[in-house]
Amino acid sequence: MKTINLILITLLLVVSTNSYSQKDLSDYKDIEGVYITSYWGNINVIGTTINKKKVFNIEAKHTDTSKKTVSIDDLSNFVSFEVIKKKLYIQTRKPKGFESIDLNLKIPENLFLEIELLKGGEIYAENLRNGVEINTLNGSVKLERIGKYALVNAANGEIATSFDTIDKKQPISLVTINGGVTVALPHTAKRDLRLISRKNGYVESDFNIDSDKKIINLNSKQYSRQPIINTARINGGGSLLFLSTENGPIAIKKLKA
Amino acid sequence: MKEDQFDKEIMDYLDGVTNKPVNEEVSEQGEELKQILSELKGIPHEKVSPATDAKFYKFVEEKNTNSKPIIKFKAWWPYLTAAASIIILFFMLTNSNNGFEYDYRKLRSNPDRLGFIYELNKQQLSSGDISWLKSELKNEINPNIKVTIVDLLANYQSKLDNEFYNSLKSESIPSVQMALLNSLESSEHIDFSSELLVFNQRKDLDKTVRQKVKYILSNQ
Repeated sequence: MKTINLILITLLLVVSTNSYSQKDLSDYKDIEGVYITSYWGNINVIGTTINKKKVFNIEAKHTDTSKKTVSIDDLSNFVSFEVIKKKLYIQTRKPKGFESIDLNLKIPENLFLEIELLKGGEIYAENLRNGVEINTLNGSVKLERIGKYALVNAANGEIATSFDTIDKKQPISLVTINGGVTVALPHTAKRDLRLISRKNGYVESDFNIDSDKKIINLNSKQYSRQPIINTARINGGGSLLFLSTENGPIAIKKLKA
Repeated sequence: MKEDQFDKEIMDYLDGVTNKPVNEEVSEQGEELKQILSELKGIPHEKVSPATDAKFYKFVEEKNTNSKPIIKFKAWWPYLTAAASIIILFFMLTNSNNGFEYDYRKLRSNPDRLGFIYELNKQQLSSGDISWLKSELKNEINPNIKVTIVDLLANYQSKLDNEFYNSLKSESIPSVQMALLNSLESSEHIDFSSELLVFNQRKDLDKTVRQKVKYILSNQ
């Protein structure tokens, strides 16, 4: 009996440690965008389809200086929420020592998303229809099934973004100083390209690229010692696709029709 | 006799209202005046000679052609106004800047502003445009827009000065710092080594940025 009790207690502890406590955000009506500011920690944002059940919530985990991670039941000590002019601002507290706060959000897909990660962590977002703007210092950025446009700035970390729809009038800008930059676009996408890979770069492209000059190591996976700096076009040109890395390759992929 | 009465009697006499003035003085002066009037009526009409006529018309014509206004200021004030307008317009274009800045200010979203900056690559920028973009680089918050501005201004190396590179001092975003350093590296007309040495002392520099600073310093 004692063994069973111990197992049950252990199971409960494991479940309570690894599971998130959700906070419902659906009371925030008429929100047009979510603006997240955090210091250390991973941020995941999933866009939920409006036509189905609208889900709008947040979960958080706290990791302290001893690297012990627990789910946060009461967010009020860790995360603040404020609405200003139809913008929902979510901000984690300033780190006490070396702590991090992971955020998991589900938001309606039609909301604009902005993330400012001041120190570092991995950022992942998917299924967002109204554009994304991200500024981070350390860690990778992965965006999937994004709509309209994206402006991403990272210092140390690769950027990978796929768009299932894009606004033909809006630019896309993906900039990092360490790491590769990958973008996947609908096959019909018309873009002016600005390609910058200062070192250890090459350019992979599923699209035919019409460039002002020869692109070094185009579709040749050899790291170039020379800077690759080109102004070019795909599908005749259009709004800007700015891809820049100080150190790493660039890839422009074509989504299957 | 009063003067008024005297004048009236003379006028009545001349007009034939009275036949003979009673007053002797009135009578004398009346007669004299009558005599003058009858002589005036007898004077033949004077005809202007054709030569005088031609001279007169020529004079009028020349007067109309070469007519100068009485006050000289009135003649050139429209030119003065036009010149002043041009000068004001010039200052508006060069100092308070031109249509680019005006149009840019109307844009609200980051993607719109970034797209606008990139499109300026297709324009020939004036010194005023470059000044505006340099100040915009300091004021702008979005890092992607800032990187696009630096990339654009790198096309105008010869017009970039210490003020442009001094924006490194206040810049905290690594990707923008790197963009500025890349531009500085390709600049041949500015010695910025002392400023770079100071910049390198900052404790918040990203490792890659610091490596770049050292690389530039060692190659100068």
